[in-house]
Amino acid sequence: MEHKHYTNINQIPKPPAFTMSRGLHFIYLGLVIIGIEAFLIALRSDPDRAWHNFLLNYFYWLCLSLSGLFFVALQYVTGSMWSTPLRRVPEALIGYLPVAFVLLLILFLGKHHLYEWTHLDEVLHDPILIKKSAYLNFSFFAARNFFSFLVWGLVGFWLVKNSLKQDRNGDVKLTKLNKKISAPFLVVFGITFTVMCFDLLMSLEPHWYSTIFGIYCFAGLFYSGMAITILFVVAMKKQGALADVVNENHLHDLGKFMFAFCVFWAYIAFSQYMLIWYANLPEEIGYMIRRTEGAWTPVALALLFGKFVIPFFLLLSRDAKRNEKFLVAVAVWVLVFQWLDCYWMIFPLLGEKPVFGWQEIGIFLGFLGLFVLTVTLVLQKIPPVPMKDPRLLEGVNHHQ
Amino acid sequence: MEQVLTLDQEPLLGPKKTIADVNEDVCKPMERFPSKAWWVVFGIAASILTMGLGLVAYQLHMGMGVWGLNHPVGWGIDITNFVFWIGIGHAGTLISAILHLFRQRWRTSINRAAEAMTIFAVMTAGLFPLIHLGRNWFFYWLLPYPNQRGSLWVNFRSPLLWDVFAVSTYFTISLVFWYIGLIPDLASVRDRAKNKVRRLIYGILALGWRGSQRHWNHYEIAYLILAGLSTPLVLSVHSIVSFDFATSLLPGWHTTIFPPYFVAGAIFSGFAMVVTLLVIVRKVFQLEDYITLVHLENMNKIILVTGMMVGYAYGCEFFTAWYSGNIYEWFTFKNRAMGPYAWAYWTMVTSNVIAPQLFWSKKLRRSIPVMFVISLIVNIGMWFERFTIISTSLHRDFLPTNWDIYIPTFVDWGYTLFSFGFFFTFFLLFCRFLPTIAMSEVKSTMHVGRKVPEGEEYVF
Repeated sequence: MEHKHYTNINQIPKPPAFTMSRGLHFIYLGLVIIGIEAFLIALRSDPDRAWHNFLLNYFYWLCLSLSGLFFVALQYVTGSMWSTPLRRVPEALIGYLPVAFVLLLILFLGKHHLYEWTHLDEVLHDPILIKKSAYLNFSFFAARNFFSFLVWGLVGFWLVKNSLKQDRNGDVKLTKLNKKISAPFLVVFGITFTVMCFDLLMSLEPHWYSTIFGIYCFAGLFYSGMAITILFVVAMKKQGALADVVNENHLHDLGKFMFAFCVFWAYIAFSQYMLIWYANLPEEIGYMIRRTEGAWTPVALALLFGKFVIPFFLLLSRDAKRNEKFLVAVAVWVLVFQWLDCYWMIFPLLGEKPVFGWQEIGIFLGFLGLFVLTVTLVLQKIPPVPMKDPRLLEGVNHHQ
Repeated sequence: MEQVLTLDQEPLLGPKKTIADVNEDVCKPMERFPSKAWWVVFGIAASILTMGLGLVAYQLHMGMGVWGLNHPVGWGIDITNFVFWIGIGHAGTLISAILHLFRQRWRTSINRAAEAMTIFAVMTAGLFPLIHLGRNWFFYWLLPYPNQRGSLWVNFRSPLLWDVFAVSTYFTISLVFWYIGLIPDLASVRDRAKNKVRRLIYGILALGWRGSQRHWNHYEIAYLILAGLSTPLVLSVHSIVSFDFATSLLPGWHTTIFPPYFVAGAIFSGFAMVVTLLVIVRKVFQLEDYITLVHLENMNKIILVTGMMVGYAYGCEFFTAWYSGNIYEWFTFKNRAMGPYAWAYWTMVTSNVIAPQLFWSKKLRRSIPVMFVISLIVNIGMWFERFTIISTSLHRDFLPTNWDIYIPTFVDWGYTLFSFGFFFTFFLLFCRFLPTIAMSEVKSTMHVGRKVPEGEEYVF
């Protein structure tokens, strides 16, 4: 493929704005309605299942949004150039955070269906849970979640605001400022994200603990975050907004990241599983038994093959990562198995047999519609390429 | 043409260097008679090495009792040193493999010395399990092979055996990687040789390298493949070392975060050692224009990042020890922070988490004295991290009647000193006989041979 080499930032053609057709808008809106309906009906027939679905999707889509925030901050800190032309995609992913905050408030309503430690009568009869109640109590839980959202929201808003401001005035100082914001933010992010994972997922089984859990969730976050970024980048490239500035070398790099985190996730998942299996301690092994034995064996195996083995081989070759269609297919695949990973962490609490029905599909579709609508609304509003970023020229000319 | 620099980019090398200068400057120290300073340092290192060999003989004669180990503390400074040196050996492969895959071109000035350090550090680390065997002459029993001892096999379920595989694989790949990278430079040294013996030796080592396009093509492909192969090894070796502890049932050892935590710690200590060594090397061999502040600053950034990862692991472990509600787990951590080894624990926290925070300041991370001192502090801190993990979990186990304290004897300390003598002997020999900077790779980052803006001149 022939690439234009630009010698000056002014030569780069102004990209057309990103638009999504009205029809698609209505389809996604329809999905949201389906999701609300499914959740409301499920709430009446089987509230436990409805709330577990809600938690699953809340966590899943929040991670995708946070992946954008993390990626933007990381690119500023490392001074990356290759990712500049496509940076608006992860910036737009941040736009879902306010929506997620509203969903968090809804999630709080279902706390008794999800978290054993919110039942005072049970905590009082459990010596271990009494000890933990200094941490696992609802007001502190809510405060931690609010604090995390406050930090993510403020920093996300600030970074994007500076980036958009630069589109107008081209001030190099804004890039430097964003770098200064991003570095300490990444530290705070590491802590707040870990706390959130411990709170939302690990405390579902309040007796169980695993120090690697935050890293496990982070591996999934970055892995699936690359997948969703690839999908939006390709959509914008097809539609024309990124056609002149993003080429297969950018896709190749996104694909490499996805490949790297495929292996990293496997490494972390193996470390957690193997150490718990090997030590076989009663306070830890229950978690793995519930998730790998009986009817859950196929799910665990599907995760092993679907999230690691198959994408590993699919993404291994250079051509695979540079082929737009192929990469999109793998990205969709990865997103499916990220969902399965969350399902595998959350649903064994509902019963010894995995369940899958209209509730899972419907509620997932609702969140999908909400997420895509929010992100595309943001993308339509902002210029699709940071045209005055000092690193744009190098990024557009990225030929490996 | 002036190198085009984007925001925050700085030229990697000092000003006005030509391709010929690279060969001249890098090979100069190898081609002259060693300086007095080199002899003095080499003499000290070799003497310590010799003393260490004496200690090995003493221990072989007297038995394991000469160590400070006792009943609950079966692992002490020996394993501390093993883990410490394995950790040091991580920066080299990270620099040469992972940074290569991340297109970090600044790695070119430092990768050679870092890889050499890796190889010698792994060799040093390998000494300790061998010494610890007790009956050292049966060292080959570590390897699984069909035998006539009633067909006695190694225990494949033991992480100690996985260590044998992991460390030897890592050593082999690192050595091959290092050697492949050396070939073009060895050919340069051969071509510059003034006497026949030198030309013969370097000629054999250079494997007939002629620098043809075909040679380069094969070389680049081999290098990329080896980089890909080494990348998982950077993670695997220290993960498996961490399994030695984490597969056990001991509070403070058995925790799931150990693999990534050990890897981060290894990279952290490895980079600290690279900074320590290169600050000296660039000064002594006058390579300030090749190993510039840009390289050092980048390494200091990695030290800052990995230091915080290690801090995250300390915090996460401590919190989870409380959160678990397990009284043994919680006791072990209280004992670490407030028990008889509290001094070691707080040395570790101060050196590894607090000291590197100074690198947030650009001024401090570009100051040679500051980075030299911090790199030493980090090295000490990481040694104490391993000491803390090993000793505090062992010396007070589940039954208070078993409790004891571990006090290293002169043999333990002697072996620690010995490891430094062993390492530095090899490293000093490397500085004498091989190019300390990858000349061919540094040249690829130079903007020479392109048009100079004023006239039509070319710089070669």
